[in-house]
Amino acid sequence: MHTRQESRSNIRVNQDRVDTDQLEWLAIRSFLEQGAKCGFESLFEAFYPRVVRFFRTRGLDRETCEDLAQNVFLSVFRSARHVRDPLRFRAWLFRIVRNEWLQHRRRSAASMRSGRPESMADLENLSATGFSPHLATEIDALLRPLTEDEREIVRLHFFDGLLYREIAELLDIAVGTVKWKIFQIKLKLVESKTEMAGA
Amino acid sequence: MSDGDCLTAMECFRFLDSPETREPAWAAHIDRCQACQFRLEQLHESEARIHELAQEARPQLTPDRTEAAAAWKRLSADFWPIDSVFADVAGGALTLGRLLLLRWIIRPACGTNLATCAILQAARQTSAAQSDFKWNAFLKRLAELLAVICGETMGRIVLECGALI
Repeated sequence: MHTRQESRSNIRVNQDRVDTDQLEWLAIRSFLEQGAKCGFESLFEAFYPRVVRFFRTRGLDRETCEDLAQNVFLSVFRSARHVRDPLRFRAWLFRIVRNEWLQHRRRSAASMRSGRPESMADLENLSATGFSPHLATEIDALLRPLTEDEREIVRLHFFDGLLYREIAELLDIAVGTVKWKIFQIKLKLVESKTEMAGA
Repeated sequence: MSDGDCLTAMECFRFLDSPETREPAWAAHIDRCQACQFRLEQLHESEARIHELAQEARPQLTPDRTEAAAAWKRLSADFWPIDSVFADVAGGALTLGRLLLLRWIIRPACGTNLATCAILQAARQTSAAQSDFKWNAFLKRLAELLAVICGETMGRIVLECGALI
């Protein structure tokens, strides 16, 4: 079913992911063990790109992403003593990230009341921040059949690289529910593609 | 599932999700059912397509090392000095939160460095390191400093916003 080139590309992607995860893991351990300023810099170095990516994926402009990311790291620094289990750190961190994003959304609710579908607003913002318009259009077309909740799960799993377990913890749902939702999303995308081909 | 019927969505999900507990009948059915094979292949393709787009998008959405280093520099400049001054203050976390909000208000008009310096200076002049830190006295001193440096309007803004946060 898959060509050899696709397999090689998947192996490379997985290797990249493993390397990144190892860097993150070391940073988490160092932060939780050494605490305060010693471990904070490595934690920042390991997670800042992902935190900013989280905000950019949701269509926020560069400056807002940086400000929100800074708030996130300040919160992390102030409350990291509440986290003991390194395995749960990423889910905890992304809960802070997601709350920051939700707060920002509430604050700028007025601009969201324009009546346009949210995915379109995201798309325009992505293009404005230097994101390839062609890719933005493709992503928007792919995600268009999905509800906002489903799009959020796609972002969390495929773009933010969170594990099922972490998404479950973040959204306060069971791991099985996350898996089922992702399966439903794939079914929906297949159906939408078939419908489009039929039309 | 009776022999000949295609897998339901739930059976398909369980087939893909837990290979170790698959019903042998499902695998046998899929082996000879082109419709089910096609459906599974489409599901794989659908997932692969999202992965592919996400992989292509990630580098464009992720800041590079230079951006991250600049962000760290900004955070260190903003945060450490303020944090170290207020670490011992009673209710330090609350005070720090208010100060960071104040810094947000000051920064667009006066710049990051000036915002931090003014906060630190006002804090020193109102005994911030002691446990009897007085928010209103600090605010008044900060407003006076900013009025001299950035103009009276900025001083008034800080005084009024600071009273609200």
